[in-house]
Amino acid sequence: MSTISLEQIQREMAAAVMTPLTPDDNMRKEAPDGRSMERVAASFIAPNSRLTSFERLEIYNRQYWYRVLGALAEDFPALRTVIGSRAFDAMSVGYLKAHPSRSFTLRNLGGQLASWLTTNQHFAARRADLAVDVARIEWAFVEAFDGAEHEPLTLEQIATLDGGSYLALQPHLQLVELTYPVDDLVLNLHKQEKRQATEAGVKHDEDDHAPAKLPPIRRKPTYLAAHRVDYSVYYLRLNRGEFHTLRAIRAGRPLGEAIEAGVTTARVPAARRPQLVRQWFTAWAELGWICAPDLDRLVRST
Amino acid sequence: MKNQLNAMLLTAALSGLIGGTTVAHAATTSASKTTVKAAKAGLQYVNGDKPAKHSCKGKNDCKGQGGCKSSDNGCKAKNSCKGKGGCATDGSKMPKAV
Repeated sequence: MSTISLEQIQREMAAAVMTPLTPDDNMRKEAPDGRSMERVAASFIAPNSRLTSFERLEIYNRQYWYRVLGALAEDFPALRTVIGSRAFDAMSVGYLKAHPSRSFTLRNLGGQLASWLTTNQHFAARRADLAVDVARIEWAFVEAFDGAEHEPLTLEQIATLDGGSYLALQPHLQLVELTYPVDDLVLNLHKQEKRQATEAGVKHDEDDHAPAKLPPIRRKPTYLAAHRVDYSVYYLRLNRGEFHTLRAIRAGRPLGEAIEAGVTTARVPAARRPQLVRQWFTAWAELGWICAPDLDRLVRST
Repeated sequence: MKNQLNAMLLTAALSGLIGGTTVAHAATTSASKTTVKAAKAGLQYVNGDKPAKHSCKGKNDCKGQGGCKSSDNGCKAKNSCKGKGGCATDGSKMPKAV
């Protein structure tokens, strides 16, 4: 038997473990590069008295997929309901092949799902756009749940601001632009899921659910903020101008430019704009959304 | 004219920031802090009593750090190796730390 380095073993093992299972949840007979998986397994795993090298590797292959698929289903329960569990499972495998776990924490696993789904819409069939919106909201919830929280601006800091000042937003504040007004739908599906889980005691993940029947939803540009208050996540509808001002602040534009970016999209008469802007900033300051910029980041970007 | 309007908008933004920050600061010293802020926060995404699927959900000791899912019982009831002894290398015991 030839010797291989630890790094080679780790790479072989990772590649084998991350290879999708067969439809019957078994390890594939062939590795992605065409080699026999039996030979791959035997190259770095010894058999024991009960299991072959293949069978021993298969355990880890299954554990990886059960674990990552479970984590994704846990973070996107409304998406699973909207497209149906069978489509969701197929979508999850497709997504995880493109974006396998790369982090020490499964918390980050679904970070690319919404954008990936925009170019892989066949998994969601006729509900593709709706599904992307639902995925965006559910990921925003994950980010808002444990995103960092900085000190909001103080009165002393506000006293130094002018139109050229740079501001920052709370890291846990997520700005979400949607094609459909699906926020209430997602909230209701989460409540429903929670109720079912409570009533059933144990959730049966293997149930094969078709896409849920949904009330008719018409396209309507919708702007949301998902954020955290006292360890709970909330979402708040924003109007268009409000959303664009916040987005400009997050993009690092100076305060004067950020205000202009928002009010010009707000579709209100010029005379009413100052009042509107005052209301926005009052509400954001009350919620602690506006912070001083990260000076290190500003220096790095200049 | 445009400059004048922009100055008015900036003044409005700054007075809004001052007003909101003052209210938020006053609320931190009031007993009703949570209620006031939560009332303006929008709709709660999940109920506060949601069962903790992740070990740290609801406890927030991971707040701001990420990393909730690394230590929960994700493989509970899914141990396909249970009873077969395939998990440890050749059934050997874990080496003891010296």
